[in-house]
Amino acid sequence: MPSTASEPGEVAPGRHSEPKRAATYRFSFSWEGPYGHAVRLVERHARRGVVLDLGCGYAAVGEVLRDAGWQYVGGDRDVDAVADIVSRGLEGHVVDLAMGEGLAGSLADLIAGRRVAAVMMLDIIEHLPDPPAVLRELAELSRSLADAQGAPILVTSIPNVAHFDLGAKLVAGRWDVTPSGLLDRTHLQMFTEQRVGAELGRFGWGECGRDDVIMEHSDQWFPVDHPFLVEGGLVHDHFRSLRSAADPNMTVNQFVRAYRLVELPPVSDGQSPLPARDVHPADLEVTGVPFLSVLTRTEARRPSMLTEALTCLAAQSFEDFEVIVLVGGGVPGAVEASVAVVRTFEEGFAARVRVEEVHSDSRAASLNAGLSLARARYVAFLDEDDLVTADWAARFAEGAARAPGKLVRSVSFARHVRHRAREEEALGARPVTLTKPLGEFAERFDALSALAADATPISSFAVPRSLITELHFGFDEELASCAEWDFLLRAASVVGVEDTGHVTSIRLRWEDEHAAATPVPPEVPAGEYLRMFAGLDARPLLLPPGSATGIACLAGNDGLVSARAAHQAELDRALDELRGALAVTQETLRVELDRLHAETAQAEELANQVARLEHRALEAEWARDELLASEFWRLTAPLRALVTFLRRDRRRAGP
Amino acid sequence: MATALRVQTVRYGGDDRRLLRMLRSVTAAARQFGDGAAGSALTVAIGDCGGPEGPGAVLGGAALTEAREILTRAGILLDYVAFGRNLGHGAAQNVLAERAAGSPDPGADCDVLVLANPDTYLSPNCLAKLVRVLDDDSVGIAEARQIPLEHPRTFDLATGDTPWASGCLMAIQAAVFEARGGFEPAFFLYGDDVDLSWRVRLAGLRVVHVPEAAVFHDKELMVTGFPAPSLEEEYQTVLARLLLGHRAERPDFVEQWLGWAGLQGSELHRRAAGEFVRRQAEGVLPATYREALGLSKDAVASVTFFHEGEYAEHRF
Repeated sequence: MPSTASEPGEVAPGRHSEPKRAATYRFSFSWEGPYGHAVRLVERHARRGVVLDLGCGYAAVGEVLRDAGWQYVGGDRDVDAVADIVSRGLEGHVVDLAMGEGLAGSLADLIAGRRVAAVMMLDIIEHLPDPPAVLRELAELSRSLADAQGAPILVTSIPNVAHFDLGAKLVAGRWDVTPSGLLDRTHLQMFTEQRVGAELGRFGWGECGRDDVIMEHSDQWFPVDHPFLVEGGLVHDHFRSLRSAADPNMTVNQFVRAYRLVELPPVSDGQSPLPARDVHPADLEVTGVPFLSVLTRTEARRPSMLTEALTCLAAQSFEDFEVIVLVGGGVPGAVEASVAVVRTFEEGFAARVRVEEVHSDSRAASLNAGLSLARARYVAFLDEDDLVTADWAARFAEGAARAPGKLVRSVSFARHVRHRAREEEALGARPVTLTKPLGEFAERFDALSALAADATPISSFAVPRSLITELHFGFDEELASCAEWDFLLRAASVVGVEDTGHVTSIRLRWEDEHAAATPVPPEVPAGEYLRMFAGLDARPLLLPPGSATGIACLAGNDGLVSARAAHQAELDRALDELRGALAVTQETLRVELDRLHAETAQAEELANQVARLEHRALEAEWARDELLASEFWRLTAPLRALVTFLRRDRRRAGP
Repeated sequence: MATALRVQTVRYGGDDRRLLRMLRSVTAAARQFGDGAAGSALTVAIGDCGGPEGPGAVLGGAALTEAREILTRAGILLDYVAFGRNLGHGAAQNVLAERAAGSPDPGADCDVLVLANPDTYLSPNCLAKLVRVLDDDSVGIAEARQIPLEHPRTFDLATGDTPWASGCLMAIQAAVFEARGGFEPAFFLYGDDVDLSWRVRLAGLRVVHVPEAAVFHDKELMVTGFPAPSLEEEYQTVLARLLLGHRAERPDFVEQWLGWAGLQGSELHRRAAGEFVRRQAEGVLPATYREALGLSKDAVASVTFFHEGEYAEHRF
């Protein structure tokens, strides 16, 4: 029922009837309320003819439509309400929307061949036990009433349970059912814009006009001192900032929309061609798409650079990713050149690479174009002049598995490169020469330091695509060189950061134009800084736990600084002691290991000696066997027999 | 000019999927190599140093089948040899090269050997660029540029001349490899590339770094920006240093590293030093360059280079 006319706790008379409820609300017409908005939609989108107002209650819009030239026909289950309508000179019928199948036929009988301009259902659907059954019947009715001038439109008003007031309180655990309003206790269905679109779309109702009722404060704006409802309160403002990014409906009280029937794809089995209306969590799981979309920008001015970036990607140990090469810059033939580069790779990898032309004049705009093309669960960025290790994508996947939905950050290195000298160029050397590594990017993300300097180049982090799909995150195209930094700070402030701690990317810095010591290249105009921070300042900024101490120290809280220093010194001392103990243990183990090695060597030597002796014994045995088998041994046999005999004889004789 | 190429790699355990990726990269690189010289032929040889089981087991049946399929689809022959034991990198490469040279199959003949690590991924134009450089008869070895972490060794920006070539990915004239006797097997895993490069240069040929030929080398980086050495690398690099110092007759260098290993080295470093001393005592060290090649001390000194444990000046 309309929530515009009632205060919480007030039982207002209603305009329609509905099963299981005795009283019918009686609302008066207002151009500011949903009735006025609905009539305006009829005026804008409907032809002349009958306006069939279903669940009309006491027909608040009856006279207005009649006076404006439409034939008003009200339908309601409440006999008293219908009698009231008729008594006012309007046409009224008893109609039970819950009858389900057969409703279309009943309504057609009631229309009796007249031309129907529109069917209205104002604040009715949320009271129905089975809205799809009614919507299907209405679609059937509308199709049956279509003529050469078209078919009747459908005009609905539906309360928005995703109004900001409701959502903010729900975070705090409040769900205030009221006698009327957004959470009218007689509502059987809850609608957000997404559900409205899905339910109507299933049966071919396509939106053709909207005139939503906007209410900064809904009937759910109570208690007014609720911490999350306090205007200017940080939580309130932060929620509003996020919510306004998600969709434009946080102040919509009722979705007042007009729909026309659109063609549905033909189906053979008579079932609805559209998916079931309920959201199944499993349906939302990302399946059939890769884990990662990699966006690679190029202007195709240096094909060898693109080749090397793609080589790094082709060599990844984790292969569940797609690559989108974003060709910008407007260089003639750039797309063809980029496609040619991709085709030089083996088919398995090349099949995972898409080349897309982006018509944008800034890096940020190219990236935004890329974000809209990405399909995977996470998005990472690899410019053509950056290089990555084989575990680059794998580390992102590991981080996302540990902390699903967080921004995943690895460590990046910078390397200085220089342009090739002219004489070297003539001899065909590569355009750049690497000179030295610079470990200038921080190992861990620090939210406070990140405000002072960008230590997370774009090739070293991956963001969940839900930031784009749910909150419409993107790069600020007003910013030039700060756009990526700004994007990182905003994303980190919403979803937090999961560090992988691994070095996985290498950024090139040109020696002849670098100014690596400064956080942002000096050519960035001061205005860019101001613009970026103005954007950050426009809303509350969430910082991770531990930031209070960090900020207090930065802000000059000397007491805390010295207390921390003392605590740090204490920890350092304890650490030193531990290190000392560790060193002693290590040394002991080393000595023990040496002893064991020595013993092992000794044992090996002894074993060798034994083996040698055994071998000698064996050799002696072989020699004896050879001797036994020899001719000499055979010839001297009688002699040995004589000697043996004499010895025996001597033993018998005694010493 | 049509060139017959033989890409040789030696595996000992490791990630089979990585090896398969490497083979796929060879198929793409072969296309460009083939485009550049009509009638060019390519063979891939895998020398398997794995044993029957354990982390260094031989290539599994499924992986071997897949390897064969990948190459067959690209019209590339596979010569797979399971040695049944770990011969070491150089010795295994030598056996693979000998198989090509000694094969009665005329298709096994090759002009150029490409010696590649199994943890690499060749950029598509890599082979074509390397082979083109070898068209110059003065060049004995052409070396690819490693990405994402470039080797810090110096090279001449104009000519590409470099003191030695990494075994990560090098192309060498097959005749040169044979004439030089291939790798010295005394180097088990590291240093054999430096040794071969020096012998090629001592024979009057050039060793050339080819920046345009990029090869991805899978290395995990430490926070210092340099790769983390494996335990095997810890042992083998010290042994390789000592062997190179011995072959070049640089007792100062040998003493320096024996001393370092004893005083500052890890247990593995000390064991490597011990192994060198043992070989020395038993008289089984490889011949010096002077003895082996019949060169003067000055000639050897003009090519060999030792500074802070490295064999060339580094750019960084």
